[in-house]
Amino acid sequence: MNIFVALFIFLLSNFVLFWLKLNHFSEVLQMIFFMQYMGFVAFFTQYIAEKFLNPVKSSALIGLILGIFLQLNIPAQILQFNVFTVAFGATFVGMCSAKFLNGWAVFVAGCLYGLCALFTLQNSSFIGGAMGTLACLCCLVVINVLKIVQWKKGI
Amino acid sequence: MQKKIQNNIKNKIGLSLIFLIQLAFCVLVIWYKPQFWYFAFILIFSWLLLPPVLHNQQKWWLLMVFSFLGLYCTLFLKIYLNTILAASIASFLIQFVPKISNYAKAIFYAGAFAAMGDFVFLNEFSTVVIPFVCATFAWFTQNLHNGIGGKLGTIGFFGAAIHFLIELIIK
Repeated sequence: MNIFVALFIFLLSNFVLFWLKLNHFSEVLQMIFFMQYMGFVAFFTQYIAEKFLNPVKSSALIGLILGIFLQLNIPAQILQFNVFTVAFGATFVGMCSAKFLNGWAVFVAGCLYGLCALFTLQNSSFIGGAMGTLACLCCLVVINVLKIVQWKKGI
Repeated sequence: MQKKIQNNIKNKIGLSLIFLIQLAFCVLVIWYKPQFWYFAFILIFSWLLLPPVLHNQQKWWLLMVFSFLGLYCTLFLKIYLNTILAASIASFLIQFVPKISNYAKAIFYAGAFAAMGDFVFLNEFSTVVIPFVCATFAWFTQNLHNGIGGKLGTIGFFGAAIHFLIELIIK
């Protein structure tokens, strides 16, 4: 798949966010959607990093797209959070190498990041790098859980 | 042999710094919302097993220069654009500069993260403290947590947090 096709799919998925108008859904549904979106962004960042670019370029490119959406003042609020701002943190999860986390594991780490972000970022995001620290913690948790599962299975 | 011992000490200092900064983040979260005390389990789980150590040799001054550039460019662009766009534009463009190590270019991104905070402004104080702290932390951790997402963010957080603390003490 061409990088432009991949980016087009990412853009389309973002537009789904605006059409759904999630404010009308229940809080639990909004939370699930939020987590899944973070997982998707993380997965997508890793996909582009592995197939076309390096992790930093990939994260910055996705950040560029999210930043443009934010600059255009497109409303995408879920549970008092601007989705695009938090999704920039999910791109850091996607910077994880495929040696440590494969596609599904990155998706799970992204979902975990989304869940933690809902509860923690309100009070810590005034210091730069808070999203990155949270992303690092989530990646390490999933890596360690996978290692423990493999060790239990005797792999 | 001596170099190996030096590397060992450097890695241990780097590891302790990473742990301390992640602990500080958890304390900050639990401090504001004590009902999320179980967030501490995330920290415990993340330190059960350590990722492998790689060997890099980076020049400290190069990291300092790049973290300074990252901070300065983001703070400058923040005047006109939102923080995410400001951080990602400069970081994306710098990746295409040839003949510079990937790690140094990545530290540019870390400097940009540090500048994303609400209280960081372009003044003589922030432009000295943050790059110095980021470069030193990045130099100590150059062999650790490579290929794990969020390492650069942690470096940025360390720089921004130290700057925040110093400014708090001075003012």
